Amino acid sequence: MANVLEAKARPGTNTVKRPWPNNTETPEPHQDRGQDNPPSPDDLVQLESGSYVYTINWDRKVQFTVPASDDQDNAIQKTHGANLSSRLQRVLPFVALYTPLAASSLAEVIERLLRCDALIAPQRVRDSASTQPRRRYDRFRTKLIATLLDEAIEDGVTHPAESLIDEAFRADSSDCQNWLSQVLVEHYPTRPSLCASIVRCIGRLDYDRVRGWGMRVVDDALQNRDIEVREAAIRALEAWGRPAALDVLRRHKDAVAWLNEYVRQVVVDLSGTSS
Amino acid sequence: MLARKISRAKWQQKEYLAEGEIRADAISGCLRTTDDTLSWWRCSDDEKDIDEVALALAVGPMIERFDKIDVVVLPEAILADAGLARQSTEGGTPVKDLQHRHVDLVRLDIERLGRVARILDPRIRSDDKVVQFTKARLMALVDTAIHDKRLDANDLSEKLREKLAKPSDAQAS
Repeated sequence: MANVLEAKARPGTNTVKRPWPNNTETPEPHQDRGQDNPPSPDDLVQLESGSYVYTINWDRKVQFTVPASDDQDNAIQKTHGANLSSRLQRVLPFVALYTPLAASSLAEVIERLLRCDALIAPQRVRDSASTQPRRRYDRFRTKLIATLLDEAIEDGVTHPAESLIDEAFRADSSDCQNWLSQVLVEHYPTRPSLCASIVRCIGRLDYDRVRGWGMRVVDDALQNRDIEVREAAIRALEAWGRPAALDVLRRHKDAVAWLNEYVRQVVVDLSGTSS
Repeated sequence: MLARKISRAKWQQKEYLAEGEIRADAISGCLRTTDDTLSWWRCSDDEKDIDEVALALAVGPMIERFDKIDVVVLPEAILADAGLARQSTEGGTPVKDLQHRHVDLVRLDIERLGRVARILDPRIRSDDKVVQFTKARLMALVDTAIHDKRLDANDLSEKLREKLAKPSDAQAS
């Protein structure tokens, strides 16, 4: 299916005109359309592919297809005295209103509304709000992994993955934390060395940027069965050097002697600076 | 003796490898060659002298932060007996009195690199042949070298100088 936000409208008769008051005001950002903000005539567009794109607001659209059928057209005509386009125009403005009330996804509400109201069974309903974050995560993950596989992390040397993470943190620290946690969860079972590299990158971020989330990531990594992952976690705690890091290290007893010695030494080092 | 930085965790046995098999990650991660040479530093068996190797490594040309390092040490004769040619070259460290200590293993091929790995493997796994330098220990070595005027702080990367000025997050809290 074409990208909802990038799809081009069918030229000529692409726009389905609506019987609404002709209000062409641009909605405010993040303001879902409701009764006080009626739709403009071009909110519903039919694409060259035949799919419909309905614009909820400036950054949210939903795309769906309605299979052509004479039986369906006749049923709509018989029930509502209107054709498919007219009925879609009539029904879709209720979507944004019902979605929060129904506590359902916008795609689910569209499906139910169209089925109940016009016996239309929409297909491939795709909400841009639910696909965009996933795509952004996929892009971040792909780039991060490629960068780490391309070049190993060297002690003392800045790695290109650090600027990738830094950029994502600047854009949205909460998203970036979620993405990094998700990459780790997905790859811990099969790619521990890759995960160790990610933990090392996290450990190179300033503590003020990671705080509680960073400590949880590292705490989790300390329990990992892979030695590289545990070592990366200890490195992070050593780099952050905060009292919270010292507490975690004091509690950790590693099964591997040299790692345990590393922990012991870092505790000694930090005890002198974090009091 | 000869010493080299390694990533100790990469030499730990994996359950999918048989006893005595060495991880490919250990070779690709710790024995990366350039022009078929592998970099080492000369030192004595004395711990203080191994500190000198750590100092040379801690302020290398690409270094921008203090990270814990592990240094493996072994008698040079073992490498010589294994038919591995060595060549003294100038080391890439701003500590001038250490530059002459640098040695390359030269003319390496896959077979000779494998020999290096076989020599290193048991040593890395035994606790007494690897010396660990934590971040704080490395910083202390660098600080001392600057104080003793063996190292000019201006020869360090800007980021490394910043780290010396602000040793850890702990001090910012």
